[in-house]
Amino acid sequence: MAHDDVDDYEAALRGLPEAHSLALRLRSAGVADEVVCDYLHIEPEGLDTLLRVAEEKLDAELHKR
Amino acid sequence: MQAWPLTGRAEELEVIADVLCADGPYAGVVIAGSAGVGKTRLAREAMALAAERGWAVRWVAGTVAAQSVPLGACAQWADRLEGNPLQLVGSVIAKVTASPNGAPVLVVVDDARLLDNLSAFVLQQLVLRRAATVIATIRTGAPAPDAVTALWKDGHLRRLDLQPLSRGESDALLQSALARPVNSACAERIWRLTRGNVLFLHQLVTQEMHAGRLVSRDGNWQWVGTMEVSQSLVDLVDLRIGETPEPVLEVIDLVAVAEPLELAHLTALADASAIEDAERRGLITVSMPTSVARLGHPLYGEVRLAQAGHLRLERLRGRIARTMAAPDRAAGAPDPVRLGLLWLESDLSPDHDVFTQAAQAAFRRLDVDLAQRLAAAAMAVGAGVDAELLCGNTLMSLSRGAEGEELLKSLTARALPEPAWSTAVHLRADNLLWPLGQPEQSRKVIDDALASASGPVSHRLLAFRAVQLAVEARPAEALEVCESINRTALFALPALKLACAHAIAFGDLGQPLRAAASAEQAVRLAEASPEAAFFQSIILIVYYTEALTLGGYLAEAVTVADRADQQCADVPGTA
Repeated sequence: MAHDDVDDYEAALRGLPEAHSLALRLRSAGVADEVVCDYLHIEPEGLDTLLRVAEEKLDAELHKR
Repeated sequence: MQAWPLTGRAEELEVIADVLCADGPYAGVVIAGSAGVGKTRLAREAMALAAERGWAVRWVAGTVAAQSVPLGACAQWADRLEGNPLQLVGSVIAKVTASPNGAPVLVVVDDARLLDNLSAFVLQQLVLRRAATVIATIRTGAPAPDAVTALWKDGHLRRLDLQPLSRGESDALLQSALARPVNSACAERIWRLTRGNVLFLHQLVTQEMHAGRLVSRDGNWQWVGTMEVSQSLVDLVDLRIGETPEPVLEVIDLVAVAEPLELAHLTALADASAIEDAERRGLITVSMPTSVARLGHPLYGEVRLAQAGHLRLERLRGRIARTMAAPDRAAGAPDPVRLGLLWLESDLSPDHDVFTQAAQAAFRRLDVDLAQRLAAAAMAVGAGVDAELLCGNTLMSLSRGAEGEELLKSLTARALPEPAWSTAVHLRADNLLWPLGQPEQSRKVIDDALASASGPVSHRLLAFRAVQLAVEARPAEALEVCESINRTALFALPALKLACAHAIAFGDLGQPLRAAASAEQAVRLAEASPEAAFFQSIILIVYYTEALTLGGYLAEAVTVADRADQQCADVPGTA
């Protein structure tokens, strides 16, 4: 990614609700699902949907830029 | 202020829309989140979108007040439900899922954690049978009925954890709601407090505008003056409600102790202007066309009930119960269980008629624990033999055989009129035979009763003797006793017992078709006698299928077993 793209991506991540931003950061860092759930205080059954919502919100944020 | 626009929830709505539209593995969505995050608003929005697309939509809400009333949350589909309790859940599901032209049905269950057990069972069955698509909301961190939790734990509902808004979304919502820009310092202070919780944001803005500290100057909003704001949502709600005039507080409290409360009752109890004021402030909502009042948010009730003293709550329940029971009520006949519970926990003088009717209705709704509690309350204030018999029946159904024996023994020793006395003898013999496992004592009860009985009464007692012989594997003797009985002397319970005895005995004698005919007759009698149907039908089905199996009628046995399986699926618990 070019430097501007990295800045945009980081800015978009920061524009997300905290839990969504954190979920995406933890996942890209390779953190295990159960640890992600512990951090976010969510049940494991909700993680997939949380990540889907987070990705869609991230896409929407990136499109605004 | 106008209703605030839905903000920052496009992706969440898409998740719900996917589940609704796709023929996938999920029967719906459970929206989980903390108090005030916007679960109900999201569910309402999804419901409105589904309605626009032709879905038949239903709204159910769990409340603290209705949590102890069996089927309290499903009251709109459960009124006048009489007859066989084993068909109760099935008939509620049929009403909920009936839709014009076969339109798909969406059931939204708000605050599912507060559902009474039977309503939670209805919800579970709706999902497991894929009878409707469901959107349920639950508050995270709060316990919910197992039947609700299992729905998302077992993968039937997709779990959507709703998060607070982002800073940008919160700012956008604020600006949109206030219809003018908000200065950056003001937005920052508000964000630091509310952190994207929509209810907190709404409460804060409402309070500060009302106090004159959130003001519009030079074309944008500013927060002026000393900041005297609570650091938590609950404290803020508490503070805001604390500033509400006393008559409006009375309205909130009345609704909180009996939610959902019929508008006709509320208007009989509170000043009309106070009710309008409470609605205008968003502290209550009134649903049409059902004309019932609900709290604007569950937190309002939680805050008020936590502050209200025991005596005040008793007084409020008493006022509502008296209004509900008034003969000229505009809201129609009250739910007897709801009325009984309000009365029981009120400052009113105990009324055994109210308690007895409530106990009978609770028993018909399969809430045996509650039926026992209400029947015992009725007995404590001198209720008649109906309450005592019901109490004995509930103790037996709860496998509290020793307590049941104590009560039923005292009943059989009294000179009760018929059919009460023979019913008491039947129940006592039943209790000794099944829960207590004392067949000899059960026989002795019938022996002793027969010794003092004559005429029709003795025929009623012989019906139980026939059952005893049948279950002791003495079918020929059982049939001999059956033949000696004058059937015209029997009311529902002994007639049911006689049919059971026939079914068991014919089965053991290798006459499956006659056993089947007797069993079918017993099933019809059980349907006409709800109190007996509760447990008799299940026992009967065991003997019915056994008779068919032993006689080699395997296909018929499977049909009966399937029917029983369906029947048991409609009964919560271990049936």
